This record gives sequence, C-alpha cells and structure tokens, in this order.
Amino acid sequence: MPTEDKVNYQNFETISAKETSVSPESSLEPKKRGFKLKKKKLILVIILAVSFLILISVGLIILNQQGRTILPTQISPTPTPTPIVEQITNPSPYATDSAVLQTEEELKKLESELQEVDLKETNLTPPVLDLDVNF
Amino acid sequence: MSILPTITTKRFLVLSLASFLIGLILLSGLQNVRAQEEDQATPTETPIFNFDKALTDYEYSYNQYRQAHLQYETAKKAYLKFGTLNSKNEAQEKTALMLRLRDETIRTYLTALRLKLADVTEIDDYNLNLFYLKLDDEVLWYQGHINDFRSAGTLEDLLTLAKASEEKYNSQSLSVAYQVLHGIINYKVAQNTDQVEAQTKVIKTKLNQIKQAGDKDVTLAERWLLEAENRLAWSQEKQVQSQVEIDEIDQQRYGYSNKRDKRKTSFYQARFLLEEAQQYLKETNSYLLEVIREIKNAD
Repeated sequence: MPTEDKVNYQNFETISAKETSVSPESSLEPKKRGFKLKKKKLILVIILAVSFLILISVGLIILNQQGRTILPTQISPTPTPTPIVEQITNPSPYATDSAVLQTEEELKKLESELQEVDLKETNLTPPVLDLDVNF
Repeated sequence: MSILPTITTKRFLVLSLASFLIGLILLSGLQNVRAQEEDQATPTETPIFNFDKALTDYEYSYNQYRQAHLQYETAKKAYLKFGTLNSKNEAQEKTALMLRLRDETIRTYLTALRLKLADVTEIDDYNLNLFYLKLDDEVLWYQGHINDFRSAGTLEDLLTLAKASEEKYNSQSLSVAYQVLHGIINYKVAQNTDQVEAQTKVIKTKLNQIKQAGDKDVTLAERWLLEAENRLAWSQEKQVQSQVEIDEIDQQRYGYSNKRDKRKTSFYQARFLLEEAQQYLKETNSYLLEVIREIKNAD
C-alpha cells in the first residue's frame, strides 16, 4: 500500500508538472501561429502566381500554334527509274542545235502523253439494264 | 484565435482554385472566339457539279437500280405463283421503284457522259454541239418520264410507261451514248494526231535546212521520216474507218431489237480502230525521235 501511495503521489506530481508547463508555452502560441499563417499565405501566393504563369504560358503556346500556318505535308514522288542518258560518241554540228534539242524535248513529252491516253473509258460504257419488263 | 487561421487558409485555397478555373474558362472562351473567327475567315465553298460528281451519281443510281431489280424479280415470281391481291400490290410497288430507278440510271449516265464530253473537248465543233443537243434532249425526256410514274395507278399503267422508256432507250439513247463515247475517244486521238503532225512538219523543215546546208548526210534521217509519215497516214486512215463504222449506228437506230447487238459491235469495232490509230501515232513519234538521233550523230 505504501508503494501505491507513492505511485499516486508521483503521478500527481507529473500531472501538476504538465499543467504548470503548458501555461508558459500557450502564451507563445499566437505568435507561432501568426508566423505559420504568414508562411502559409506566402506559399499560397506563390502557388497562385505560379499557376497563373503556367496558365498564361499555356495560353500563349496555344495562341501561337493557332496563329501558325499549317504547312501541307509534302508527298514524296513515286520512285521512277532514271532515264537512260543517250551518249553521242560522234556528235554532228546539230547535236547542240537549240531547235533540234527543243524538238527532241517536245517529242519526249509527247511520247509520255501518248502512253497515258485512256481510250477505253470503261467507266462510261452503257449500263446493262433489263429492257423487257412484263408480267 | 484557432478558428481564424483555418478560415483564411480555406479562403485562400478557394480563391486560388476559383481564379484558376476562371482563367481556364476565359482561355477556352478565347480559343472558341478564335476558332469562330477562323471559320468566318474561310469562305464556304459551293459544291461544283463536275464529271466526278456526275459519275458518282450515276454509279449510285446504277447500284440502287440493281438492288431494286432483284426485289422486282422476287415480287414478280411471287405474284405469278400465288396471284393474290397482296402479292400483286407488292409486285406493283417493286416494279414502280425499279422502273423509276432504271430511268434515273439512264438519266445520270447521260449526264455523266455530257460532262465528260465537256471535260475532254472544246465547244467549238459542230458535231460536238450536236452531241450536246442530243444529250440534253435525252436527259430532259427521262426527267419528265420519271415524274410520269407517280400518276401510274395500276400495274398495266406501269408496263405501258416501261415500254415507252424501253423504246426510247433502244431507238435513240443507246445510239447517242455510243456516238458520244466514240466522239470523246476520237477527240483524244485527233488531238494527239495534230500534235504529232505538227512535230513531223517541224522535223521535215529542219531536215530540208540541213540538206541545203550540205554539212551532213540526211539520207538515213529521211528514211526514218518517210516511215514516220507513213505511220501517220495509216493512223489517219484508221480514224476515218472508225468514223465510218460509228456512223453506221445511225442507220441501225430504227431497226429491229436484235440490231442492238450490232450497234454494240459497231462501237467496239470503231474503238478498236481508234486504238490502232493511236498505236500508229506512238510509232510515228518514236520514228521522229530516231530522226533527231540521226541528226545529232555525225556521219
């Protein structure tokens, strides 16, 4: 029993010590909280400012992209065989004649045109219709 | 004291969130305005009715007709088998639809043909103008005939209207179609002939100049030119034969129904002759290139 009393006393002491120690700390709390609040305010202001900056930069990027002219995608030409360059071993005085060269150029152009002409016109052959409708 | 800071923090949070949202809304609004401005800036394009569009219309109508024809055949078989009023009504409905689409197919086909003619050729030729007139007449007739189907009350009325359409197609439309189609192909060959002929003349003149200058032997080049001229003449001959062949279609127009095949044969024969003519033009061109090669090489 004497031990129990001791314990109780000791407990009481600790409690009273706690109670006495709270009162001086609580007097400092408003100052600390005020500092914390200021700190929080500062953080929020920074966050706000950063978010605005991000928003403005995103907006500027979008506006720039809209303003830009969209260049058409360049379709690469289909590969064609390199034409065989005719080698003239013994050229005549007319080998470099401008009129001859021009005629040659036109004939080559005409050659490809003649190849491309469609004389079938298969999509315009008359339709096959039932022309004997009776019962 | 402990409540006040909490409220202030919340206020700041709400304020920051609200401002962020407002910013986003304003930004999206700005984007919409810009998009609308861009839409207004680009003028709305009016659809152009050209050959491609006409061909699409024709293909669509033809496809519709084929589907309708299948339904008509099924309904016809059912009516002939059962002979009920219900099957008769069904057959009448399907026949009317099929006949309307048949006329529509012919109309769109002739329209496509007309636009192809306009695409390929120039309207400065009497024969071509005649083609335009003929095609316009045909298109107008079918346009009116399609409307006549609305007044047809019985199956017999429909069959009478169908006969009129069949007679029109057999007697005139098909002939016009073949003639126009030949005209289109013939025009292409004729254009190429003019080009090859012009080049032949240029080379002939040049060869004469070289011959007069006497600084090069042109005997071999002249042989090539002679061969080229022969090919050109054969090509022109084939074109004349082709025209004669296609002109026979006019004489077959009011013949018996079995003459339809003859018209088709005439068209294919005429087209084959034009293909031969084109082949000769290609040969002429290659021979002219041989002349140039010969001119460029020394003796």
